[in-house]
Amino acid sequence: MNNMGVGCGAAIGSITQAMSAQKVLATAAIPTTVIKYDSNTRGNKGCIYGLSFSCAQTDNVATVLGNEGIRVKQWNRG
Amino acid sequence: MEQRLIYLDNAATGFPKPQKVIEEMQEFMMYSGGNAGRGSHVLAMRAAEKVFECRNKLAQLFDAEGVEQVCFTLNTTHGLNMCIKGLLKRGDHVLISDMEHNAVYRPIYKLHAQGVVDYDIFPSMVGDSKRNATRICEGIAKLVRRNTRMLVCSGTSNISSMTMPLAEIGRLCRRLGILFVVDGAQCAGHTPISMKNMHIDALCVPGHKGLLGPQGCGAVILGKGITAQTLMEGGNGVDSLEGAMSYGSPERYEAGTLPAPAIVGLSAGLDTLSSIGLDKIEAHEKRLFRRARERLTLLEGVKIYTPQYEGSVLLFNVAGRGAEETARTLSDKGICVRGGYHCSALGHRTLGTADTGAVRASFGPFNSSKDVDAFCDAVGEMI
Repeated sequence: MNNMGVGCGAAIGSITQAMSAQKVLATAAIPTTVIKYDSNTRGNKGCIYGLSFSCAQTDNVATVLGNEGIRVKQWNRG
Repeated sequence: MEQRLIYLDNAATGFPKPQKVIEEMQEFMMYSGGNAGRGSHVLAMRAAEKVFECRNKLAQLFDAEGVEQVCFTLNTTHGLNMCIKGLLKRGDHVLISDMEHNAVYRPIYKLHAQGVVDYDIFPSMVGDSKRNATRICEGIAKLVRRNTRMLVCSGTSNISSMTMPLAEIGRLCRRLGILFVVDGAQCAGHTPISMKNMHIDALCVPGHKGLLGPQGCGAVILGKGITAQTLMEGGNGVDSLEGAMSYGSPERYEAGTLPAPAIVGLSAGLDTLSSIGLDKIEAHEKRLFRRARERLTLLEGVKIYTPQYEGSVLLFNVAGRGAEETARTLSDKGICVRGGYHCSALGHRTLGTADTGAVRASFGPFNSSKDVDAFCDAVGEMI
């Protein structure tokens, strides 16, 4: 099981950064949910927010975020 | 019958607040009042969404580089301290105008007294209105040194409606590699500000004046690539296992719980501002100023300072009366103005009112020509 329990996700950073990324993805018609990661995420420095989304969208998410220069700290590919 | 209250102190704080501001704050506190950015339960996330919405609106209003550049503060003074103390280093030289509020002057005065920075003051009221921008920039250029790191100036003074030529100053600063920090306390919500077009590196604004929100929050909007030392450290909901506040904007500058109810109120204030239209507000306030100026000019014994600059602020004195006495007399008649020095030591020295202080009437979008007429009638009764 990944950190979200279902689907796939991307750990991004602060809640503002996660919501910014969500906004960017919404513009690309990719639905996401802002989530807070479990504290045992590998390499985690503590609290971190990210996005969960359908695994079918993972490549699209990576492309869109990459184009916008939004760094993903950890991917969860289901 | 209760006396009609005429509020002409919008430069101190905007009043009344739009009904929507009050309603949204109440609704937030009843149904969404979690701690934004601290948990993941429904109330925390609702609060976070509301805070994000407000950041987004501010980023759009001021043409910022992005929503993450918007950092919430308690007020403009907090923001200016954050920028001045966070961006200057020992040995730096700073330029400020001769009309700056104590929120700019005092932090720099203290840093200078501590031997950290040096500063110079450039004149702002030079030349006629057409050549003012050129003359101001010439005055700035004369004072620039190799170690000049920052220029701080207000978009509009709190005791004069003169608007600084921000675009021209910003262009000069960008060319010279000087950080351009703007005190937007009196221009935010009164005149358009574009951080990109004006080359502003940091814009400090209050939520509770022209932006029509409640007291308790403001914002610093940082330019692209601007990173400051933190004024305050503490919990910010990010990288909590780390000792250092090492994270990026905005959370780097937001230690402690955000004033979310105030931010929600500000968000509603921005909606009201947008629905009225900034251009309409600017034109309305100038009309009120002109009406007041025309009527007061006819009164013998009333002196208006910088009458040539039209805007939301009108500064005056009544001969033979102290400024506080005039303000008190007007207050007894239900007219709210502010007498004294308006936390603007430099400004009053520049205007020649350092010995006397003066009375300030400041107009807002909810004032009417009837308010101005009642104010002028009351001043007339004192002559």
